[in-house]
Amino acid sequence: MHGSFLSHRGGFWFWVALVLVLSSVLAYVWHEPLGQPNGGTWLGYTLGTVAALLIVWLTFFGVRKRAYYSRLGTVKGWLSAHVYLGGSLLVLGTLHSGFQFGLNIHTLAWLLMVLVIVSGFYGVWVYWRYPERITRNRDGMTRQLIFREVADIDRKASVIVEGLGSPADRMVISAIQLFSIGGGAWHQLTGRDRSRIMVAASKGSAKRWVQVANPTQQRLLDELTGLLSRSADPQEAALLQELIDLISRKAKLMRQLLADIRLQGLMEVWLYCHIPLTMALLATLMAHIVSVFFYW
Amino acid sequence: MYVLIRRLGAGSGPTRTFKDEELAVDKLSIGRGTDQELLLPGDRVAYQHAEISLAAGQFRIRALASSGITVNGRSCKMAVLNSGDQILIADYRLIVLPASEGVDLALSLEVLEQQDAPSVDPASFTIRLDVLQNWRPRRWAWLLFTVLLLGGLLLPALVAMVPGWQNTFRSTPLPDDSFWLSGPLHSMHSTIGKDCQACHTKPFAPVTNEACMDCHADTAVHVSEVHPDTSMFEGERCASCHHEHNGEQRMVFDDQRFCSDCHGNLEQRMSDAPAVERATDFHADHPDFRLSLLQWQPQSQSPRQAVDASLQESSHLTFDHATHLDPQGIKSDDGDWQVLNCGDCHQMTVGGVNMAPINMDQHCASCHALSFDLQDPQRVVPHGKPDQVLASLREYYAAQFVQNRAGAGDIRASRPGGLNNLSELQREGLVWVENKSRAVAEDLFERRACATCHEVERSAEDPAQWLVKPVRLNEEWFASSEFPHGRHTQSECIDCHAADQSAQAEDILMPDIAICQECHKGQQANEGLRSGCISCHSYHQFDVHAELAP
Repeated sequence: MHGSFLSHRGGFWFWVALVLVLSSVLAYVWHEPLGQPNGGTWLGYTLGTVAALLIVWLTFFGVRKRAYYSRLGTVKGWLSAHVYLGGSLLVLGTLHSGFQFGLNIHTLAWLLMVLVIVSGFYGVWVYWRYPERITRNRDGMTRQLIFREVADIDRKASVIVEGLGSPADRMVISAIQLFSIGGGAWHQLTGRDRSRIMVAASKGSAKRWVQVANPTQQRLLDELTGLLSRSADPQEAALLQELIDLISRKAKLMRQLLADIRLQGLMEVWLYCHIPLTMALLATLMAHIVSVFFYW
Repeated sequence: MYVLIRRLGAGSGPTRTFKDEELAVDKLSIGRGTDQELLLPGDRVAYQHAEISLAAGQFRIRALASSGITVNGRSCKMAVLNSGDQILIADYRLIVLPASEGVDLALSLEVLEQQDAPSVDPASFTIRLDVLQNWRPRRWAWLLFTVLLLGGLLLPALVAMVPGWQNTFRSTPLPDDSFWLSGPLHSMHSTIGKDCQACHTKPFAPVTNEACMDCHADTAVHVSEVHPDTSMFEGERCASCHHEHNGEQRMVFDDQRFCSDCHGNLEQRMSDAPAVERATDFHADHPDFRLSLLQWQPQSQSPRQAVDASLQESSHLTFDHATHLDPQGIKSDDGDWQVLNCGDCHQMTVGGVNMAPINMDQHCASCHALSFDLQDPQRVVPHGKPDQVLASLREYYAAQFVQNRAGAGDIRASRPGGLNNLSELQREGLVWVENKSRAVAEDLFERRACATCHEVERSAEDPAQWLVKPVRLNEEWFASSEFPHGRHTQSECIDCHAADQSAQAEDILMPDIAICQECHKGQQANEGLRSGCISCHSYHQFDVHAELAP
């Protein structure tokens, strides 16, 4: 199982985190501070100190995972501890706040902490589930192979259209040339296909060519099916049928590719939130600690 | 079935080399998997790509991989194979050969030349997939870190520490140290505004009591300076009980543990026996009420004492609450029956904390008129000192004398030499007026008007003088707590003060703790009116402990 870091050493760090969370919750319930619960009681200081040390230590995971020669535990063990202790921080940090929130640097620190943890949880989820989904989607192929298949289909299609002439040739070649996949982060993560195609648009008596969207080659397939239904020549029909088969195959490959790009992107993108948010949290945490003692 | 595989090699036409291989199989499985009967290496071939089977005398090829197969130029999933059919699987071409003897199916196998895709370069797609990598999370991470450190820590710290910056930043929309604020100031402190340094005089040091006393200099301390154990309070901070930045309405925390901390074990904390009893919770652990009574020294109350049957108030008044509150009514001097309520005499002061003093003119006189002459019931003596009463009577009867003797006086005075009789008339008048006034005064002081309510006695030095004992009504029964009558108006007066059963002015009508405890429970109670110490007591009440002063 890919998520085996979750059960590292029989879930040792899970139990450590659970003990930490339960003891904090029990202490919070048992503790009846004079005034109202906040970070300034002895329990508040204790929880805050433990949470701050945890945050600093959790940040060091980024260093440890690159320290390939380190003998200080395995990276898998560190990841296991990182995930479980990071999760426990959600409880520790919140109890430290005493549920006092406001528009200030202190609540910002808490909010950033929550965002870092939530993005981390999302990372655990994708690392746990997505490799399997990616493998299933690729169906024994690699991304490079799919590209080669697509190129193969394009080659075959461009040979076939030579026997068909206009307008099929213009549409098929333009679909190949205006084929587009990937793009910006948004397009990658939403799996949108921005491929386009030139189709004939008759406006009055004049006929001209316009570029329209061709997501997963569907527009091309629609146009070819239209040509097939109007075709009277059996030889032409046979060529069109062959072309439709090829493009259908290409459409399927494209859907596979789009899904692959999307899944791969989602598996990476959480870290692009997790890391900058962590650094933002570190800065805010420093400001939080200094400011509460500055204005004691 | 027996299958012949002819692997075509180099060359072309009849000189082309080949290598035959015979297989005896149930089905001919084709793929790149090593368990396949016909192994076709190459990424584009699936592990199990296709299979050829014999059924009803026909050979059928079935595609197992999603990329499918091409038979005679047509992509398909399944096809019946005849001699001469061409099968394309990725870059391999299989041709069905005419069957030869001893072989059910013969296939030639050749590897096609790799052709480059003419129109689409796969590299052109992948380039666009690098966008995510171009985000460079580290750069964002350090940018965010720097911005937040500068804006969240450095700038506010400079604003807080550089006096010149404070006005500039705090009076403009520029960012300042206000987002360090952990919560809003109490509404009473809102005048401080953004001047954090008004209280936080020194960085990295807790707010000092001196900072509070700058404005709150007159706040009474809990014990006087002469208290033998003032050392107990050393190190205590205003901020121990007053937590600022906890919202606009919360500054004083009513947690009774602020008090019970000391009042739960005063014996151990104090050098002498404590003057107050242990108290930690109003319902569970609080001594009975003790009353302080007015003493005869000016402005002084007695030490607080427990209520028992012997404790009486000596106000020198005679008053019967029960009779006045008779539900049937009470007969007034003019003969009317009037039903009285507590509120007819006892009214709250403005502010609703205490009850206003009883006043003869307002509360008693409408029934208890100080009239003395049945012929002239409107005529009253003043409610004042005995001398004033006597003077008033003398004036009244002098006037009477003058009027009654007017006829005779006219005649004598109009005669020549008549004035000689004036001194005789004066003497007669003086004697008559004095006797009449004294007789009426005696009746008023000792039998009728005054004696109804007051204790009156004749002076020891001058038996001709009356002494009305001074009225000293107790005003502050509970010296160390405050009872806001205005906040208890939903209760009846007699719920706490059993006035309807009191026939004597000496009766003390103060409630005991049990009556309060009917509604007021301890602060930790699960039900009822949870009441902490400061519901009734004030911490900053210096004179509570005045009795400890030497």
